[in-house]
Amino acid sequence: MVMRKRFQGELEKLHEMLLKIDITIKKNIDMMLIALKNSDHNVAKKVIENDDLVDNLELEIEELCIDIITRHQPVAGDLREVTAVLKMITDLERISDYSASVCEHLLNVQLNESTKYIKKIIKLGKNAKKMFSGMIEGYMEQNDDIIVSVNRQDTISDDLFRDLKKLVERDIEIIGSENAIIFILMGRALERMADHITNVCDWIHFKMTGNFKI
Amino acid sequence: MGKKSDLKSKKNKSNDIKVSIENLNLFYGNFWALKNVTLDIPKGKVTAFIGPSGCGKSTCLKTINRMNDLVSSCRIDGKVLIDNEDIYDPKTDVTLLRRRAGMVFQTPNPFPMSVYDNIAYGPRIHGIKNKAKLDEVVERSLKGAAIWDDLKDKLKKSAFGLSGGQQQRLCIARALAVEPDVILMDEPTSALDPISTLKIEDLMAELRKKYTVIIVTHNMQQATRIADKTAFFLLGEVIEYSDTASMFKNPADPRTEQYITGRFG
Repeated sequence: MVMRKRFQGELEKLHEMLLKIDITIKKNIDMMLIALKNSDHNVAKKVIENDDLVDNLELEIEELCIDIITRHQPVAGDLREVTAVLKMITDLERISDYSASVCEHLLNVQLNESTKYIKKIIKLGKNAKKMFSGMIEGYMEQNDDIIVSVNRQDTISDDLFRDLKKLVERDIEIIGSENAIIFILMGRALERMADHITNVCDWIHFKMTGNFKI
Repeated sequence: MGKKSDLKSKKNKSNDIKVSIENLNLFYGNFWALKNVTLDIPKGKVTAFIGPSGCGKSTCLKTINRMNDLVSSCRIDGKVLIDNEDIYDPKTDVTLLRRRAGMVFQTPNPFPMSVYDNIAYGPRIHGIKNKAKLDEVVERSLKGAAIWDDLKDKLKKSAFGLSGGQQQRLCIARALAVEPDVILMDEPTSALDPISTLKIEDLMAELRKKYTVIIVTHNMQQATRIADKTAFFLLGEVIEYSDTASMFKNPADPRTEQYITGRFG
């Protein structure tokens, strides 16, 4: 079955490219956390630059998916794999956008006493990082239990963001409205990042089980 | 109350089912070609039979109008019901059965006569002699097969002068002329170009409104495009029978998955 072998080769290439985009995004999330922790503007700028790499990879993967659909008209597990990747990469690209967005906001924070708020934001970032790593592990091992458990960690991000909002609201007179907006936007970006990770988990779950929602 | 609603659901089920195949076994001499096949084929839908060569799908199709009777070594047990009537009952009139369940074959097989006479052949055999009545049947059948506009000015021309796609639609019109309930199609587009194939597929979608269509196809994209339900055959057995979209998105049996994704066959 030469055609099946060729098709299998293209599915493996798709799998490799998906891992490549995952690893690039994970590296960006790691660097975003370093930038937040050390208020390192150089690292923050690097994360913003790297977002272009993810955009390019998204386009390449999209093209490969459309090429596979056109030439092989996949069905069953193959169809679920290709459609899941096609949907997943939109969420992955948004996850990368959010890490760049947090770094852009970091460049605009003007306050010396910002540590308390940044610490809360780092907690949100760490939860997103943990979820993202778990998502990659679940995908690599094709383990639906891991994927389901990652999906459930989204509530932690929701709670952390709620805490951050309360804290900023309480201290708004001290930190000023401009900084308050920046902290909320940073927290919001990381909370949304976790939402997009759960979307990716939903697609991995669909690929493995044929069911749309966890 | 429970009994009443059970009876009601049983009645509804039988109303929706046109062809019911029950524990059907078929042998060609010593070869066991169909093994305990059980299928309920719904009325007014397109049902596709798929599977690798030699899996029994064409054999199963042919049991529905007793074409296998023509094979001397063929032996059958089990039941095939059309509208709850056992077509293998000794009292069944096979000629009438084949009128109820018309067959369209892989290669178009028009008779060596004019377009008009091809269509009028069946009704004439069944006793229609009146010219006006025959004209009406010819027009209605050609319209039913979506080929009236192409052929209305060529009714006296030989059917052999038509293109392959036109010949196949003529054969479908010929099947419609005797007013069947069920149309059996054995790879009806495998000898046709893509445009003619699409025309036949469009026609099947139309036919579904009035008839029950059962099609054997090797083209799985065709099954996904036109069939409401699909049965996957392997080595004489029905491995899986479900809604087409569900089978092609998430097959229940790993053998179906392997076949439709091209891992064997």
